[in-house]
Amino acid sequence: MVFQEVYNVQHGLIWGLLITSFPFFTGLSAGSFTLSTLAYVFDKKEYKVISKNAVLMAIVLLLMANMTLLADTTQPTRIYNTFLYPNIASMFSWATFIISAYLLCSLIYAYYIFTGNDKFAKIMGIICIPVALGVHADTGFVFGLNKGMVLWHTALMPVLFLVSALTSGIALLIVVVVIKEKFFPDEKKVDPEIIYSIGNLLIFFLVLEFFLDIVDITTMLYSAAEEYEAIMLWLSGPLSFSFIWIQIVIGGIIPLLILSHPKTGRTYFGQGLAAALVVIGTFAMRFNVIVGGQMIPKSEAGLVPYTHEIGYIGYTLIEEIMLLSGIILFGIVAYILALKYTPKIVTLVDGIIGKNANDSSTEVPFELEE
Amino acid sequence: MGKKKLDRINENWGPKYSRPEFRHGEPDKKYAMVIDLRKCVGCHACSIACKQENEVPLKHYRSWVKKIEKGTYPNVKTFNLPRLCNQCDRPPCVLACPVRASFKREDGITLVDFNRCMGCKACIAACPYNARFMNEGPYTNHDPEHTEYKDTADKCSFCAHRVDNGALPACVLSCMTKARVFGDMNDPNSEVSKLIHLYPTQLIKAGLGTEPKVFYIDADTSIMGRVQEEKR
Repeated sequence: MVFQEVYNVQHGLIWGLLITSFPFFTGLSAGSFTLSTLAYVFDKKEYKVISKNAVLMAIVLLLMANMTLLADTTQPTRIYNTFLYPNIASMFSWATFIISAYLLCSLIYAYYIFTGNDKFAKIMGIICIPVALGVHADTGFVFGLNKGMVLWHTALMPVLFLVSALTSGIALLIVVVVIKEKFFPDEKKVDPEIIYSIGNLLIFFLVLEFFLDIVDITTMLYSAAEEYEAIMLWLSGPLSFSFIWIQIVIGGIIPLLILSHPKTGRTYFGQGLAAALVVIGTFAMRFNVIVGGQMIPKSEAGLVPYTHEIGYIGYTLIEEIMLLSGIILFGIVAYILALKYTPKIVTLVDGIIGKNANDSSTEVPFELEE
Repeated sequence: MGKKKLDRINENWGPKYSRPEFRHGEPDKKYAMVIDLRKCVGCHACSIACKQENEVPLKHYRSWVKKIEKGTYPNVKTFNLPRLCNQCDRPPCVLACPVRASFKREDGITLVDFNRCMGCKACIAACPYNARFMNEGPYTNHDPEHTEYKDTADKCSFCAHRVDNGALPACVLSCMTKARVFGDMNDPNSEVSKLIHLYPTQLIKAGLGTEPKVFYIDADTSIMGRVQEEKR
C-alpha cells in the first residue's frame, strides 16, 4: 500500500542536550560513588587512595546533574511542588526523592571518610550503594516506561543505563587520576597497579555493556514493524554515524583493544586515552537513546528531525551548548575547590558538632593511610 | 503576592481548575466524543475554532486534522483524521506527572493545572498520541499590561470550561457536517451512546490499553498511528 502524508501537525523533540547530559552526569556520579565504596564496604584496602577523589567527584557530578534538570524545566521556581504533591506512579517524582536521599547520604559518607572513621563509613556506604544505583535505575525507568516511545520502551533500559553508568563512572575516575598524576606530579602518588586494576574492571563492564546492546538490538530486529524501523534508525538511519562509529567503535572497541593489549594497557597514557574514549562513547549512547527515541514520531510519517525550530526544546542549540559548558565549568571549578577545601570544611563541621578535632586524622586527609 | 495579582490569577480558568471542586467534575457522567469520518470533509474548521477558543499559541495545535493519501492513481483517496486528546481512561500522562498537575476528573476529562505544572515535559514524552505540547503563551483573559506566560504543558481539555456550563466544545459546535458528536457515555439515550453502540468504532492505538474516549467511525486503522510512508 502506498501512503503519503498530505497534511499533519509536526511534533518536534522536547528533550535536547540538557536532558541528554542528565543521565550522563548521574551515571558518572553513581559509577564513581560505587568505586569509592570499594575500599570501605568491600574491604579492598588498596583502593583507599582514590576513594576520596571518587566521592567528591560523585557529589559534584550529582550537583551538575541537578543543574541540567533545573535548566531544562520551564518553571524551575515551582520545583518545590515535587515535595508538596508527590505522585507515586511518576518516575520523575521518585527521582527527586532518590536524588535528595543520595545527596544527603553521600555527604555523610564523605564526612566519615574524611574524618577517618572507617566503621561508620562502611555503614553509610552500605546504605548509599543501593541509593546510588537506584538513582540511575530510576533514570532508566523515566525513559523506559513511556509506552508511546518505541525505542525506549524496553525492560532492558534501567539495566542498560546502570551498566553504562558504572562504565562511564569508572572511566572518568581513571581520566581524573591520570591527569592528576601527569600534571600535578608533586602531589601524593597513586600506585600504578591500582589504576591498571581499575582498568580491568572497566574491561569487564565494557564487555557487559556490549552484551546488553547486542541483546537489545537483536530483540528489536526480530520484533514488530515499528520496533524494527526504530532500531534501523541506529543501524542505517541518521544516527548510524553516532551509533556505530562513536558509541560502538570509538567508545567500545578501540578502548577495549587499548586496555587489553599488554603494551598500551600498562601505561598511563593508554589507560587515560581509553577511559576518555569510553566517556565520549557513553555520552553518544545517551544521545542516541534519548534524542533517537524522540526521533521516532508517534503519529507522523518519516522521522522527526533533530532541530530546535519545530516543537519545543525551549532553548536554541547555542543556548543549550552554552548552558551545558557553564555547568561543566562549574563542575571542574567545584571539584578543584572541593579537593582543596574539604579537609578544612570537615574540621569546621567537626568543631560545630563538638567533636575533638585534634586527635583525629583530619588534618592530613590525603595521606596514604597504610 | 499582591491582591491585584491574586485577583487576576483567580479569574483565569487554568488556575480555577486547580481548586478542589473543579478537580472532580460530575461523578455520574463520562464524556466522550464520536467522530464520524463518513461525514468529515477535512475543512479544518475545528482546528481554527479550537485555536480561537483556547488561545493556543502559534506553532501548536490542541486539535488538528491529519490528511493521508492512500493508493496510486486511479485508485487513490484522501483520508481525514481529526485529532485531539483522547481523554484516556488510563492516561499515561497523569501517571508520568511528578507534581500531579495533570489530573483526571471523575467525568473523564484530563486537565492540566497551569499553576502547578513545572514544565518537566515528562507527560509529553508519556503521551502516545502527541496530544500534548508546551504552551508558551499568556494566560487566558490576561491583563495586557502585566502579561504572565504559562510556559507549562497544555492539551485539549474537551473545552471543560464550556462543558461545565452546559455548552458544547468549540470544535463540535463549529463542525459544519456534524461529524463530531459530543456527549455523555453513561446516558443511554445520548447521541454518543447510540452511535457507539450501533456502529463499529475504531480507537487510535487501542493496543496500548489506554482506553481512549474518542471513537472514530469508518476510520482506516493503518493511518491512525504512525504513517509508514512509501514514496511512489
